[in-house]
Amino acid sequence: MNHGLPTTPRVNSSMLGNYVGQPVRFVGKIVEQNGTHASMQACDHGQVQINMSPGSQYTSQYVEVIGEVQQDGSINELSACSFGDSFDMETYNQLVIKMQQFSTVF
Amino acid sequence: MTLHPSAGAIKAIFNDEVGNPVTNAPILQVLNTKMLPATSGAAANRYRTMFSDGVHVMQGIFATTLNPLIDSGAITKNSLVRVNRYTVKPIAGKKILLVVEVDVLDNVGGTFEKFGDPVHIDPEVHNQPNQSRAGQQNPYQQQQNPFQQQQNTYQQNQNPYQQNQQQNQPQIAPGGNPVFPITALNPYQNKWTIMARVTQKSDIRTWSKPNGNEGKLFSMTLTDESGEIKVTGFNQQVDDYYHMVEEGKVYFLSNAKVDFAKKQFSNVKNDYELILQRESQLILAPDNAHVPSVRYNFVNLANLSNINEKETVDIIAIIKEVGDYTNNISQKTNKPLQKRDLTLVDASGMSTRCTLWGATAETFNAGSANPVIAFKGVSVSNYGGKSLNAFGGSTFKLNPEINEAFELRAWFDQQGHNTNFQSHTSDFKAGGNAPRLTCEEFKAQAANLNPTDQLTFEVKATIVMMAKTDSTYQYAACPTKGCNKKVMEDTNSQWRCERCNQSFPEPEYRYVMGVNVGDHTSTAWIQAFNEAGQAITGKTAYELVSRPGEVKPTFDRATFKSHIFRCRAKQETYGDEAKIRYTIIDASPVNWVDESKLLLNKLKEFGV
Repeated sequence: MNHGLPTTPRVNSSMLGNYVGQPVRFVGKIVEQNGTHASMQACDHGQVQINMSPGSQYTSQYVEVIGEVQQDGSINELSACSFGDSFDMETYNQLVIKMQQFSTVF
Repeated sequence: MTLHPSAGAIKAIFNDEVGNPVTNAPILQVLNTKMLPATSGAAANRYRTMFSDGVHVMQGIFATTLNPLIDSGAITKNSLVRVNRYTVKPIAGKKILLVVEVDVLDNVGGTFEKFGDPVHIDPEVHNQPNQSRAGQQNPYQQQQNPFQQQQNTYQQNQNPYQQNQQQNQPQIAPGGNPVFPITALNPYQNKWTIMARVTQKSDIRTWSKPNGNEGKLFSMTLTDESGEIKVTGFNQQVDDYYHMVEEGKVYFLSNAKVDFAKKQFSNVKNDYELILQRESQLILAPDNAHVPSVRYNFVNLANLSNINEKETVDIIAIIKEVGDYTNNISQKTNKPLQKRDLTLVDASGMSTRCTLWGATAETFNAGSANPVIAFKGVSVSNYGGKSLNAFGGSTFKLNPEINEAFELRAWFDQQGHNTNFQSHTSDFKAGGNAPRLTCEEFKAQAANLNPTDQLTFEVKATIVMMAKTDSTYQYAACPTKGCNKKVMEDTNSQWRCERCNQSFPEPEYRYVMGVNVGDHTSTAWIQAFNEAGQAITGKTAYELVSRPGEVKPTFDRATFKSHIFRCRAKQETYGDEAKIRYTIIDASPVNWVDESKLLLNKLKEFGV
């Protein structure tokens, strides 16, 4: 049930195309980062580029990025949250799929 | 030269025109062929047929040496054969053409059409009214010799099922319909007969509903080589059939209604079931060893772990122990509950409890030591590990005469009786065998416990309320390892243990507290002792006793935390009242990844 603002959907790399111009929650594993951009591996193994917000730094292996999806499939970071160094991506991917399947529940 | 039958040959053969050249190696067409199954074990099947020369037909029979030609399809319907050697034999007063040696004629790979419109050479047969036609519409004619239904050979062409070219005509049963295997029955086909054994026959049951709806029924299970099916007769059909049907005998059944199975009333494995009708025909058949008595699909006790709850299985095992018959009032239903537990073991090295209920529990007598028992349709339960229930629909047989029983007997006598079995029945710290239940489930299952039974289970739950923060969450215990008995402080500030007969300067403080836990289904009070208490609070009882101010904040922090609790439920009597008590065997933190996987699996089970 939506009370007011719609929830920001959790996505994997294959779903990005559906949300161009919209904010999404993306959990990924850092492959590399250089202060302005980061390359992350999604839970469905796709590679996604993050356009980091100024001053942002990712200090853990797994990070949740909330950001806006760009035309080219990259994400402009709005906010980021550390998810630590151990995270079960496989199970998380199942969750993301189920959330899409049952979007009314979530 | 185009191939065609030798016209006039049949007439000449029938009339014994020995000199007539047309009787020499005539070419005849094989019309319908019917197999007569061997009447005794040693004899072979015989193939009967109608031979045609394009003008006349007469009955014939192939010598058994020619059977392979028919079996292989070399001789089929409308085949042309040159009959090199034959004799005419009178059988039952009729002339039959016994064919001993033939050449099968080939139509350049294709099949032949039926030549001409031959009539039967035997005037008697020819003049009989077309009984066969009547036979089809009137299946209730008395049939004396079901296998000698000569008239029905003409009828075979009418039956659409026969239209499918089968050089081996299916057995024709009384009633004129072909014999189907039970597994071929479906509601869209009603011209069938089955030949099967009654492997189970129920009593007559009556019902009477307040709205005036009442009646009686009986049911039975028919089994053949392909499978089994439930057959029910209501009201009038009970009167018609109940007393003539005998369990263990083989019958032909036709003209019953094929309906979708009501699986909640039966554990017979078939998607369909049969309902006897007024026009159904149930005829005793000569016993045929080909028709099995009771079809089993046995599962090893070890494989029970893979079977889901509430599924029914067939089991064959040795009875290691027969429990006592108990008849207690069920806490849940307030009705007497008759039970008897059996301990079953098999060659997979596992042992399992099987519970009998009702009158069967009462009258069960296993006779001598450790018989083999074969169960059909027992229900698998997750109660206390994996166990079996022989509810109303289950049947069993002691020491059945089947191979599996003999093997089990041999195994048990040689090694089995000495084996230490791994038990499906979980008790104490049995490790893996505590099923995961919800609060609602474990409370429901515990309610059905016998005074002597216990239920071990696992539950993922959240602490909703901790024990009171006064001093009752712990007690002073004897420090002797394994003792744990409450010790009392005596006049010397020593703590005395009556059991060990010793005094100690300091007791060991141990947790004993009830916590209220809950999940999405329900809540329950469960008892935590020392290990669980430490897991829940993160502190030893001693730490809290020595710093009482810490108790409330510690308990507050413990509230609303989730754990996996492995517990034991047992009935305990306090004075007159019997209550269920749950004690925590251990409490471990929730592994969220594992829980997620568990939930994903559960979703899969529901078909999501």
